[in-house]
Amino acid sequence: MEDRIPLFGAFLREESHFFEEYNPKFKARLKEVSTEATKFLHAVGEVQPTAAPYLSINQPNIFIAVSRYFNDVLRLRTMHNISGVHRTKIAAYTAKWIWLNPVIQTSMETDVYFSLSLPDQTMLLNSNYLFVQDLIRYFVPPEEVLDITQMDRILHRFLYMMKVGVYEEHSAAALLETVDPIDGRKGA
Amino acid sequence: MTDKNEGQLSDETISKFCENEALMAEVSLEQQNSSVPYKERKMQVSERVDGIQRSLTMLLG
Repeated sequence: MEDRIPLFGAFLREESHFFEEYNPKFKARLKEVSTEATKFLHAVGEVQPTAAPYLSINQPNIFIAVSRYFNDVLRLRTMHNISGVHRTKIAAYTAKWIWLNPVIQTSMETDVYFSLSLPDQTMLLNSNYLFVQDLIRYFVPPEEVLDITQMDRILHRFLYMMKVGVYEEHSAAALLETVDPIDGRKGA
Repeated sequence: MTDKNEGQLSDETISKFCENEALMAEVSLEQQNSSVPYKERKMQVSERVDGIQRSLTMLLG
């Protein structure tokens, strides 16, 4: 182990102890989140076609969110010797950083906004929260969880927690684990 | 819980605490290291659309 552990952005520096292992994962994850954001917008086009043209992707925020996520992973690895990150943690930690660094954004005049239907306005106002939920479902496939209704309740709780600013990744991961436990399961 | 030695913690007691703590940490970390492997996947459009609709319903009621 290095004497001085450069945790923040360690996977970005070629001379870092962690570069070889984590840099490829980081790059793959960046591309993955970017692809999922694009697919999310296409899907919004099917659900709320009038709202979709007003949404766009903030690529720099994808970079920030994924970087921060990997800082968390490295901290778990270095400080707690945790190397296996359960997908509920991947989902919960990524959700946090995307909540804090919005990936799906909108820009429009207020008179245009208020001319749209309520569902469209709701979509535009909450687009990033919906993308966070979409990503959680991507990392933790609903068809593989123990109870999909319970998962919906959990996602609903996350929505509330994010909107009032109290979302916290440790409790979020623990909640998700109730429907996607680490052990004692078959398959998946 | 105090040492017999007039409430002063002995080095021996401190060492025992540290040893137990290290053992417990190993056990809990072993559990934390278990994980269901994460797989990159292709989410079906219908699955995604369904998910967005469910989330939108949470907001609209």
